[in-house]
Amino acid sequence: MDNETTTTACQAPEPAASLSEEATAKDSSAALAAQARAGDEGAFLELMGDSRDRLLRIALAYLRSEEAALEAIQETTLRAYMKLGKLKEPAYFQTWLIRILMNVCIDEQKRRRRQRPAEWLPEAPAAEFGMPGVDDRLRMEEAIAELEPKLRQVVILKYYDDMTLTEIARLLERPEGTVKTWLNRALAKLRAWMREGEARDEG
Amino acid sequence: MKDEQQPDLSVLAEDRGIDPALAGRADAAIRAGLAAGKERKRGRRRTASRRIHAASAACLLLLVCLVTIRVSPAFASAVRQIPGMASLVDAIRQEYPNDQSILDAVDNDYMQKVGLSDEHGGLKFTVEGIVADEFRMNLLYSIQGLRPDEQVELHDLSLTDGTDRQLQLGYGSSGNVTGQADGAKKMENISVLFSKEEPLPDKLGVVLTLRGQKYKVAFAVDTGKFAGHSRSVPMDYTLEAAGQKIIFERAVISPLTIKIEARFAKSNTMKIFGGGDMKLVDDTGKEWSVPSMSSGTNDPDRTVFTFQSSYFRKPQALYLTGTWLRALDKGKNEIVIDTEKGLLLKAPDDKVTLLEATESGGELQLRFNLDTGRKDDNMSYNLLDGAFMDGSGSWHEGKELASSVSANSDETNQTLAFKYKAGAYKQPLTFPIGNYPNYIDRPYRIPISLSGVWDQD
Repeated sequence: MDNETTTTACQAPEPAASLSEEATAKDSSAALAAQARAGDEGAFLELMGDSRDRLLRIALAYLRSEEAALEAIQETTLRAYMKLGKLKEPAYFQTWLIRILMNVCIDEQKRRRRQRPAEWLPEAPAAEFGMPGVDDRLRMEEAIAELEPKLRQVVILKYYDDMTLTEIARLLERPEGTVKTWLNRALAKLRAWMREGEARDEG
Repeated sequence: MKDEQQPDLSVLAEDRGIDPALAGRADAAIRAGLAAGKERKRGRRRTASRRIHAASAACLLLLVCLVTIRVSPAFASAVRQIPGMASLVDAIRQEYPNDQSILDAVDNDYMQKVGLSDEHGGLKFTVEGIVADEFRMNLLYSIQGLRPDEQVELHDLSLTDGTDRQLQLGYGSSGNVTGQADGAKKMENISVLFSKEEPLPDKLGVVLTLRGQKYKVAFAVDTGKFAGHSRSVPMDYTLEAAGQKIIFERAVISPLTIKIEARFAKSNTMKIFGGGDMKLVDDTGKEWSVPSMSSGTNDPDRTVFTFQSSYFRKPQALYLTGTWLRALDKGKNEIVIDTEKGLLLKAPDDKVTLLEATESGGELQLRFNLDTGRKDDNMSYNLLDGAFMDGSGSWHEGKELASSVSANSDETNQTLAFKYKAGAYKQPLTFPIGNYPNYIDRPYRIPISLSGVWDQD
């Protein structure tokens, strides 16, 4: 019986229903977050599970190492669990969570830069990557990795996570205008680096 | 903002799919983070001013792992092309298909070809080669000249040093060898465990009796190749689970073996038997399983977890991971039986029932049913631990004559049988428990940073 019901629902989704489903999903996520805040561990785990792929994508983009990304997720889970009581708006659980992740990533990156031996410092980003078109992505990632933290997080949230400037502003707790300025500065730097890289390839 | 002036960031949006294996590891990281958070909250509740536990503090030890070095396949095949090595490499691969550290070792020419024989009446015993480190050795030998399907027992196998003294070590080998149908030489292996008292000798003799005839092959061990590769990495990580502490002190990494040494806090109220689903994972996500044989410690406050080694891959980090432990309240750590009346008087809980306590032929047989209640626990339980105490308080070495386990992998039940020397013991008898299916669910992921460890090469 259960199976049949499910099948029918899958075969004939009504557009109107799917819209309201989305709204319901948001509501239910807020409800889950409220439960988690009240100490429901199952609700917390469910929320973490729902956010997993997003956290992974952002952490991978930021730290560029699977292991470091997994460490960051573990640390984010720990910090989120410890701070759950301070979550003000359950409806923005994911925003709050990604804010924690960004802080974890920034901490980790600072620590890593301190520890990185001198020979690891790249001369200029993307210098070694020739073959235009083939590894644009790699080049770009190299360049983004060299941006200062606040610019870098805006780029990552915007281009890896498709967040709007409004969402990013809320997440970073900054005015939207500031975020926009940061994004423009980041793009200008990337543009300059990419030109430099291309010039090197051609020359 | 014109498009042409902007760097094309659309490439970043490609390839959004997340590898399921990575997603699974992320789930594990989330569980470990939650467990660490719970543990930290517990600690806070107990004593508000207490220093943060190492268990959770160590979660902050994010590590540097920027590169992963893999064994080059080109090099692996190059070793095989050294004259005379191909057959040995192939033979070792066939004998140890499941031991990745041995496979890596031969790919890196970390082996010694011996090729020495002793022959009597057409039967030839040859030591083909060895792979060793300071903890273990795997010796490959062959027997040639057996009639098809002839079975010979390997009697009195022993290992000696340069002075013909018999080495006091643990080893594993097959009890008999059956001739190949085509009369070809038959490969077999011996696994040996070394100890502090009995390390890898510089001369080794292999002695055994076949068809009533003594065979001996002695050779010099290439200790220059096998010794001095181990590295000790301090860990200083405290895992706290249900208030019990396991302090991980160091990892010793050698070509074939990784040993992780830990001690149990004196304040523990439970005896910890070990990690139920403990795994060692490297920074590529590859799991390193336990070797076929390993040794423990005699100290009840210490333990050693042994794994196959990822030495030749030079990982930048290893992780000891798992989700549950076996542990039992120290006060419950015994089973009391009146063997005359066949009554189980004390047990940790009702997972264990006494099926039989009978005496016959000078043997006392005890049979139990143990229901672990846990499908992911596949261990055969060594319920009783050697000696026992009689009703008058005196201990009997009570040499355990035999023990056996039968278990159906689909079920959580197992039948355990133990045989002791029969005697007019004063009842009841108290048996310390060797291992018990009582669990602490506690996901953990303990990092072991190896950055810098490989620089000595």
